Amino acid sequence: MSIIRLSGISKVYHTKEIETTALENININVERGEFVSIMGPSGCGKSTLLNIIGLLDRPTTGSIELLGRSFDTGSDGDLAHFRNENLGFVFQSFHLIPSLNVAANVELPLTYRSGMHAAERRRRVQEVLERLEMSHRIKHLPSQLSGGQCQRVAIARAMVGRPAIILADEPTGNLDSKMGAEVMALLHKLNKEDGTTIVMVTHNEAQALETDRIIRFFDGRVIS
Amino acid sequence: MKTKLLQILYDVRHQPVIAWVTFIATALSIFLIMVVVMMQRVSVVPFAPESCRDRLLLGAYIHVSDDGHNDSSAPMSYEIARKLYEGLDGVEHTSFFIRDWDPVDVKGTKNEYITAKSRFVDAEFFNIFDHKLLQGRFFTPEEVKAGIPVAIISERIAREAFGDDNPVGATIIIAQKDYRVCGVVADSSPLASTAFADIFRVAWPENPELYYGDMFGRFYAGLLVADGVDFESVREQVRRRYDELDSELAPEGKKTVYHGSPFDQEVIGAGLSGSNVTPDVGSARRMRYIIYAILLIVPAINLSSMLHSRMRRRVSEIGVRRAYGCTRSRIVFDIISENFIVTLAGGFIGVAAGVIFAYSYSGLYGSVATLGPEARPEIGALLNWTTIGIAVGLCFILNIISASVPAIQAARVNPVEAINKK
Repeated sequence: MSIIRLSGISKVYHTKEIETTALENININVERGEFVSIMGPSGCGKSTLLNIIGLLDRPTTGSIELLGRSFDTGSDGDLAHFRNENLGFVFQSFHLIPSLNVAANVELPLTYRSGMHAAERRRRVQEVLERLEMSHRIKHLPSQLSGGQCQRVAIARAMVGRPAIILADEPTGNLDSKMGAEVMALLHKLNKEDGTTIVMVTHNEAQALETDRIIRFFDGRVIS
Repeated sequence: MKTKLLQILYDVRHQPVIAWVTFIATALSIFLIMVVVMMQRVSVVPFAPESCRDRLLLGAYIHVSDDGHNDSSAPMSYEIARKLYEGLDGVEHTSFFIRDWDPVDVKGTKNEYITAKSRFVDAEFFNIFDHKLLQGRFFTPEEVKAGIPVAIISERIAREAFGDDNPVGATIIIAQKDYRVCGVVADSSPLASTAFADIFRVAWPENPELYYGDMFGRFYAGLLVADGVDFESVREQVRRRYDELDSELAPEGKKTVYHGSPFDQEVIGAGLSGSNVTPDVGSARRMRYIIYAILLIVPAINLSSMLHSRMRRRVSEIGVRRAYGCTRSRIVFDIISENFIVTLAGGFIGVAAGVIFAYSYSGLYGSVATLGPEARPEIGALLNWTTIGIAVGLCFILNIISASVPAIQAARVNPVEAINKK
């Protein structure tokens, strides 16, 4: 069963003078539990596609279905609620909130989840940080962590809400090879142990080859 | 709440100039507006010896017109004051007294004259105003009726005119006449404009100094209204008495002009207008609100631009929050509530500074020469739950004005662009 179904997705950016096609007639299905890499040169539309799957951006044409639910329409509140319950995000630049310590950063998605008590939130945060071997840094600020540790915290934040899908935009792009390998190992572990579907944008061929499938992009189109 | 406090502390550490300027600007604006608020509050809030302000009405002036050709208006004669205000239903005590101070030279056992502010009052005056009796007694109705030359003096006058001698029973010279001191009361603030005096003398109804013809004189009527009685019902009775007076005056071709007396403390506190003018409380109130609005809007615009600057540095954070399920309305709420904490903290400092300033600087309430250096309000008149409530309310309004636009702008940011913002 496809957990992500994209049909005829196009994205066109209009400026005063020019019209830029970022995506053109994209049709992709991703199965539940799959780990998919998206590869292609810079500017070919990989991140745009990830943003559309993440319901952060809307396609110009085409339809998107996640977990069997269509998102051709939907209010800001509906989309926010769905993202909170079902999607996790890992960014190249980590995007941890600098004023919050590790625990508060990881807890962030749960604070937007109605009806979850603070004690339950803290328990989940502790659990996920122990799993990622980051519980000893729980009180640290992001500025006190290495790049690899920051990305671990970002992955913990993506995991804590137990989403069905994690979208990772070049998660190792800002890390050295050793730390990059550690992060990849974590994502694979998450995919295998929890059955989380992962869609990852990457420039790293070796990392892509470790995933279940590679979707290659060029000039806004899927070429293989 | 905890994350909001952490964010505020982070801003203080990482954007100290903007954070401190925001804090100080907030404190300063709340300070300014609270000084204005307290100046007005002092004129209406109850404090000794005017603890009765919530129940006080003041009958002031009589205005008589002769077919519109000749107008005369002034405080009342004793007879007119009684005719209009004595024995009204719902009134516990009625006092006929002279509200204006007379500056007088006084001398006790110390062989030197001192200057004091004197007021003529009756025995009922002390049933309305809670002057604290330190020695002796208040006036009796018989003393007032007979015009016995007795006086009640303040603690300050007792000290300056008699030194260590016991003043009660002693003779004091007031405006070149001998009086016997029958009581000593605690000093009070001239801000209690209706009750204050250094020296009280009996308001003898037949005292020629207190009359200007049959209708006019120097008398006012103080009415202590019973708990729960509507002021308007008292005014209605007074209006009927004006009608009766008009019937008496009609053969002479005269009639009264009613200006809304007896007045409540808001009118008294605003400073009674002329004796032939109807006090316009609404206009004074509007002017006050305009001043409040200006004092709020000007700093709010500056604070708004500073918050906007702070938000620009947090664009990517807002993008991440949106990605993780934060709605636009929640972003707006979070920014406004976070800013409210800063505004409250600044407001707290502003209120504290305002109270200290309003307490220390007596010139704030009028000419020092008029009120004297002792014109210092009770601290309770400045700082009470109402003042705190007003301060919190003002902080809230300041916060809403200053934070709404930056918060809405931040919430409208496209999450993709926000996340990609370096």
